[in-house]
Amino acid sequence: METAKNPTINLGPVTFDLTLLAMSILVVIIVFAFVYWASRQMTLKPSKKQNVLESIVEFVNGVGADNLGADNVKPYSLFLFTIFSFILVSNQIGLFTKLQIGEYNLWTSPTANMFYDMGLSLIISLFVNIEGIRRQGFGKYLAEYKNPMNILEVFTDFLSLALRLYGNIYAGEIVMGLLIQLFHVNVLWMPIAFGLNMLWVAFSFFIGCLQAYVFTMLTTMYLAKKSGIEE
Amino acid sequence: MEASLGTIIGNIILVTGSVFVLFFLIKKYAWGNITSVFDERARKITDDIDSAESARKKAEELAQKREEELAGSRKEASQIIDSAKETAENSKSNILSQAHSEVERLKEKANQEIAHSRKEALASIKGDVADLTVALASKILSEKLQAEGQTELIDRYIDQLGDS
Repeated sequence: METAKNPTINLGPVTFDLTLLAMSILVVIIVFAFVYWASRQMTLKPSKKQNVLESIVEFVNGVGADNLGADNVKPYSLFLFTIFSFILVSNQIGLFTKLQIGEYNLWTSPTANMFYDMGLSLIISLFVNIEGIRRQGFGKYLAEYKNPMNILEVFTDFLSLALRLYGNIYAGEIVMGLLIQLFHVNVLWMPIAFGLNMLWVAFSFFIGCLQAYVFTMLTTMYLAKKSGIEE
Repeated sequence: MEASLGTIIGNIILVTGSVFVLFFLIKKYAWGNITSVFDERARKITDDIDSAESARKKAEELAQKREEELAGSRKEASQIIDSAKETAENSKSNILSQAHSEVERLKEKANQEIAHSRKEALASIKGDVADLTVALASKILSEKLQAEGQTELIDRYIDQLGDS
């Protein structure tokens, strides 16, 4: 299978992936549009759209409360919600279609790119460690690294967070790509490939939701560990 | 996948930028609404629970007060009944004794009257008898005075009259 390339643009030494850029902007727009739309005219008795938004926020808060304790979750609520909703939409967006023009791939889940996920993971690592210093003080924070396993853990946490997400979503895209190739092989394969693709998209959708949850859950877990609020 | 350093940095910048843009957009335009509605709801629930609690307490107090008042009025009612009974008993004995003495007095008076009228009747009868006797005697005397034989009889009559 020849891999299609994403179009890129070079700004000095930095190469920007235009497909990822477009998808990122799209994800931001989708998430923000939904949140903005659902948070208009909020009332004590929630309307339908407000209920959806509130249940997502409550869900993320609940995930945070499991690891951080209900009292500590509030300052991180917005950050966790942003991460969760961003990854949730990023995971799903590649499932909608496959857009390939010539050798350029124009539609993908941004989270199906390893370095994109590492960027996310890096944000989490920095956030978690900075919060650790802020909450515990620098001395107490450093004291944890007397145990070299904890130094190692910083890197394993970072890598496992990124690679877990990448593996799940990338695999979803690969299999979808293969099924689409199968679709084109022969007319007889078409219904089979179509059916399998439907099943696969449903499964990937489930995986995408699950990974967004796992990512958020692990973020709160690392946060609890580093900020010394581990129960 | 081409993994040049430039691509890696580019992707990392991309995702960081996206997440931060999303973060600040939500923070600026939507998060206030979401948290305020949560806070408001939490406050309302707390208020409702508090006011329900105080209403329950008030109701309990009121019920307690009612019960006390009821017990008080029951006591009062029985007191009233008791005093009424006592008054009735008193007035009953009063009336009875009054009636008794009245009857006694009336009886006395009647007896006196009876005795008096008997005396009067006797006196008047005595007078009448004397008059009649005198009249009879004078009649007999006027008719038969001549008859000397009657003298003894007349004497005896007169003697008898004098005795009575």
